[in-house]
Amino acid sequence: MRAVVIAIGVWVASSLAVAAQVQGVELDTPEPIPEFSLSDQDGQTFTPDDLEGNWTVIMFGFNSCPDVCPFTLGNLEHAISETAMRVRPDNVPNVVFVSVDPDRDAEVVSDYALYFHPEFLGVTGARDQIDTLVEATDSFYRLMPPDSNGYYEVQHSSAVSVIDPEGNLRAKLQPPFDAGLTAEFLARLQIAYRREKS
Amino acid sequence: MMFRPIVCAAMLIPLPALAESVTVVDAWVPMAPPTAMAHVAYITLQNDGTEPRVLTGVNADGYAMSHLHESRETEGVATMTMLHQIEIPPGSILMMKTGGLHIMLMRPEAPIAEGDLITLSLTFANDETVTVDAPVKARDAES
Repeated sequence: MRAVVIAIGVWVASSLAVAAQVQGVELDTPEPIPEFSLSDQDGQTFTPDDLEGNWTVIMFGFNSCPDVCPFTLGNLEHAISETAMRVRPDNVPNVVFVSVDPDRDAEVVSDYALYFHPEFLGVTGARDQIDTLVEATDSFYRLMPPDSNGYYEVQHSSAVSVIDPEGNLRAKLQPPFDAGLTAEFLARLQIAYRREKS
Repeated sequence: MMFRPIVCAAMLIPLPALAESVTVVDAWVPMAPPTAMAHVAYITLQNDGTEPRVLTGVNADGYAMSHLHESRETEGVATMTMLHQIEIPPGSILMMKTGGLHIMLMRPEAPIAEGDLITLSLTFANDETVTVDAPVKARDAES
């Protein structure tokens, strides 16, 4: 974990008691996301330009993850639907599933994300581009050695990253992404952001 | 002939799959994206016997491979580990669920649909095999 993220405070401050149950942390100093280029299965690119002007939630995973990743994406779908009831339509975060396993997922990564919500984006790309985004969001993944059948496990961060409309990493959220509490966290994060900008 | 209606009625009562003292009390497969290369099954086993029972493997119809797996989250990192056996102590219930023990079903021959039945053959250390049909359900219908 980089020092900047260690320095962040758990988002409980003076907020409601229920907020203490959200495992979300807000960065003291938002971190800009550097240049990277990923793409969906049809070749449509996903770059920092796509972060501008809207909130984005980025999750790392892989398609051959039948237990935790679908659970996380399903919970995120509920959380984003709940958020949509609390914020302006143009402030509903875009959810981006980034596969860290392009060799197996490049051709189906978008279909995988779309299954959970018709507007979820699924992308992957070259290893160095994935690594750039992983590092910029203080995330982690590791491809494990393959077994005799060529099958390999993938370890990855369970947290998701919240990017503000200027393309800065502003918060991290840990599962299980309770819908109501996550929506409350995101709505308050947006209020704090607007106050900062006004 | 007098017996026949009674026998038929008894056959309609769903009986749990039995392997001596081990009972499969629940089994299901959550729906998955049509392109997913791996699915998951969750089962609940009850050992009513006096001896430990050890689940050593699983075979699933319609899949290239099936493994016993365990998901864990350690210091913010999600990991999956293949297990070679899972012990069910006497008098205990083993419940597989999201984020923990599960059966990983790899390389499906075809996409799954709600209502499909996936036949799982569970192998135990005493070479006994228990077969159960796990229905495919919406993930929200987690039982």
